[in-house]
Amino acid sequence: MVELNINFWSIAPQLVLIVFGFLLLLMGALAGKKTVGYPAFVSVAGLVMAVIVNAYLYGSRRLAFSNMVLFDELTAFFNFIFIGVGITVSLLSHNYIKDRIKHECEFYALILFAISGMSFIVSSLDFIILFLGLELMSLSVYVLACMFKNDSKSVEGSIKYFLLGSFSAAFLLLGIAFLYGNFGTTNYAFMLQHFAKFSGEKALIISVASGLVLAGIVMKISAVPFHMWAPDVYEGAPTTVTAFMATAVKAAAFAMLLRVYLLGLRPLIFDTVGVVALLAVFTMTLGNLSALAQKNIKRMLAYSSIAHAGYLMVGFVSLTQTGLSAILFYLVSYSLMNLGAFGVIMLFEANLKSAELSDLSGKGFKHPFLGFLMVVFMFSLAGVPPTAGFTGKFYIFTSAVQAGYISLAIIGVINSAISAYYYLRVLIYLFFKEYEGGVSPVKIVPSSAVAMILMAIGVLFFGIIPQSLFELTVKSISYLF
Amino acid sequence: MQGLPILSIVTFFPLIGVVLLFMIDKENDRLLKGLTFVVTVIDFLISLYVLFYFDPTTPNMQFTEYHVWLDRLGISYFVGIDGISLFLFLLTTFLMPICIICSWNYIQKNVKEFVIFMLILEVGMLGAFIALDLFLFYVFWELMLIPMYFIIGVWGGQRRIYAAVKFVLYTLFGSVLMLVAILAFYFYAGAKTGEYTFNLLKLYEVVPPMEIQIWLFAAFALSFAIKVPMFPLHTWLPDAHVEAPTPGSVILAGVLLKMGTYGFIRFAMGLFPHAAQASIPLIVTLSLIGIIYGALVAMMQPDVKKLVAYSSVSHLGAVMLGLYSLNIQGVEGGIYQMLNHGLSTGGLFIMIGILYERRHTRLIADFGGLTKVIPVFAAFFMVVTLSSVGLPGLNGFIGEFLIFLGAFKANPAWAAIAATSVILSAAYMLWMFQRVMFGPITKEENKKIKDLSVREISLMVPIVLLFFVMGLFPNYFLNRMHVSVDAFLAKYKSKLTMNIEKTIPEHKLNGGN
Repeated sequence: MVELNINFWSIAPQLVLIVFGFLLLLMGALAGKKTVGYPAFVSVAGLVMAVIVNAYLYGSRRLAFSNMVLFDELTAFFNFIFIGVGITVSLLSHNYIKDRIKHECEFYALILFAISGMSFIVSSLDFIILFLGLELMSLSVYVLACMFKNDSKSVEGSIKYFLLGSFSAAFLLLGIAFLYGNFGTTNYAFMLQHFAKFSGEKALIISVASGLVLAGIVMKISAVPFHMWAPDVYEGAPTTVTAFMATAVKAAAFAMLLRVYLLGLRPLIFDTVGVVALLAVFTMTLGNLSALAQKNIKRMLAYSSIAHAGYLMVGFVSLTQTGLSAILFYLVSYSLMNLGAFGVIMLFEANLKSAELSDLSGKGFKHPFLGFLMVVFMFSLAGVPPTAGFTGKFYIFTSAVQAGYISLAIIGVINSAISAYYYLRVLIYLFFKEYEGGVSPVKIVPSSAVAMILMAIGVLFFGIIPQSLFELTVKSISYLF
Repeated sequence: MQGLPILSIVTFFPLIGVVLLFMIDKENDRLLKGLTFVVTVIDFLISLYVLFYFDPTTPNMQFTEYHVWLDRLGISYFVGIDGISLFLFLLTTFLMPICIICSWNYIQKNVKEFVIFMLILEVGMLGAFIALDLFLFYVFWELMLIPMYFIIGVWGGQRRIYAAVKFVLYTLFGSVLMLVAILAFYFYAGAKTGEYTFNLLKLYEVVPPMEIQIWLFAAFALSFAIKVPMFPLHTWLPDAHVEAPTPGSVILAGVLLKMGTYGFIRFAMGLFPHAAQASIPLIVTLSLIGIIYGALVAMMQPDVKKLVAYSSVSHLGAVMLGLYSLNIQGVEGGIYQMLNHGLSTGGLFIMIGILYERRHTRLIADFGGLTKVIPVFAAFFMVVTLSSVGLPGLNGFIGEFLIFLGAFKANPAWAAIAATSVILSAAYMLWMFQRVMFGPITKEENKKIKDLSVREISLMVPIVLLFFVMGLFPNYFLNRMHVSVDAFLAKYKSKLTMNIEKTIPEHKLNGGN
């Protein structure tokens, strides 16, 4: 047996988040019916502190808690994504939920808990920790999705998400159980040792287990065939929560994919990539084709996020250093542009229930600030240079060509050209159609303006000078090579 | 040579304008346009430096600048200019101020956004002509899409949205496939030489075997053929031309289409000569069809702007024929004709725009007998029309003549077929001119049309002057192309005679290190 090795530094960012989460809950409870001043900024303070801790720990490698937790560059990198998304979402939510949600403090507390759950996922070296993190994240997000308690769409989406999420958790658990039954351990490191012992052919049960685990992960990625929940949930949930789900939750799901298949189930990886490649093709194509038909922007972005999951899976399929670092790079750029896009939509939504494309008619010139931002984000999502969306796709398709998957790259770029149609349609409504009056966006408060400007700068910066970030991603996955 | 980074200065100077424009009040239209005009004129003047200090005796790239950009992937900021790109570069800086002037009255709403897009467009176009790194070229190539999309979509005519989307989707489909081809070639060349780089000059040295070349060439050629546009991929062009506002049409016809033909000579033919050689029957056939089809369709158009749009299909077909003659006359004629077409079609669009501003119609049937009402306009219109037709003494003649000469040397049958375009183009242009300008005045509104203003005359004078200069002193221009074109052809031919290996192991293509 390994020694217990308690090392709280290895989970320090999560601890900070949990402490601040409870602080927010306490604030909510103490305030009672009164409104609490600025819970968003308490949340931001907690997240900033977590970033500092994470940055302090960056570069070190810590193995702790009976080898169940691993803090390394990959963990730190993903933590930066999660926390960055968290800060942005908190800043954007500040004004958005103020008059719509009674339990503001709890809203932010749930975001902090969800992020700490994600952080546990990426630092797991054991299926038990992975599952705990997954549940911590998922349960928080289920509740966040139905924060608009009086809106039937919000509640409906949340229930759908909960039911399908539970199914996928059950798949995952069954897979883990099979693996445990075979190896007598849930720890990745021990599993690898056991794999080494079987040099011959693998038992069927292990392949089944791997398939079940993959199904659980695919559902969280919202890839075909487990993507059906995404449009309804994305449309119904509060827009900032949608942004959170589309970015951080997806990043966490990819963290899960990388950890599980590059550590614990590494010997099975070559069986897996074939499946993932097939899923990637269907995910990209189905996501893009469905998005073409959408009239509601949030639904459109939901399908677009499915398509982007497909691109990310292409990076995984290539299994090269470029490909895996491209996943990390793309997750960053994807988070930047999606958060930005949802931020703009959130402001345009104003008093509307949900944003239809036609609600945007002619507003681009009326509100040039938001219009300009939307141009940046939409072109980035469509993958047109000089934006981070382009460099991200470039790295991904480069890796696919490098690994010999030229057909996959061709399918990918054709998909990316198709996607331009619906991203540009947003701009058609914003700029080419005549202004028809209607609701103007809510006042842009400094917090959300700052958040969105930062996103736009990030998109352009990593579009023109991607070098530094890419080097960082290469370093983060270097332990694999 | 790492002296003054003149090419970068010219290319990115418009961005200074963009920054200044952001600080100017939205309502102040005159200042916005005035400042943009000044910026583009200064940019043109700076670009003349390149012309004066251009050394016509060397085939090497000149004014080169090299900076590492993304060293892990061998991507660099590498720019330079030679006799092939020199005048296309200058054509762009020359046409920009003219476009701004011709938008003076035409563009009334959202002026600030318009001029900003124009300047960004200029950066994209200039960058694409000087890029010597495939990645850099791709970035500039795509960068042009964004502003053009808005220029057509916001300031265009009735069916502008349809035209803008069609333009973007056509172009994007071609270019994403080119991206895959660029990557595939990059990994192939890297595996073969051991150096992974997007540097065009180094990639020129790599000659892949035929079965790889043909695919790479197909992807590049598709992308460029859409841009040219070659028959049957031309359908986006009439829509985009007709719906775009006048300055947009001028840029589209004047510069953007040249991007396609330039791409052929610089990239598709330069990198993959064997595949290019194999594609001669196909490309030449399509070019010849384009020449005749474009002319015939142009003849039948009731709308003047559409007529000019289809005449572009015909003219660009001739350019492609010239390039594919693959002899010095043909290629130089092709390049010369690119410049001519940019000037004369640009001029035609400006003239049509001027008419449209006055009458709000472009139908030939709505005009007639205008010569008596607006004699100055008629004189300019005549010169531009004759330039487009290819009258000796004007620029169009030189280009067409060289192309036919080159085509004749390559295959007399090509020249015979292509030469019918001389008759056809004279027919549709002059017939159009006759119906619009001569005859009795049939419409009451046409009696009160104002003649050209000083602004409009000053807009046309430089273009017309260039018609004569290029028509009478072609050697000044051709001398600067000779050495580069010679070198291009020599390299092309020497690569053709090289014995390329027929097969390579599969893993090498896949980039296994």
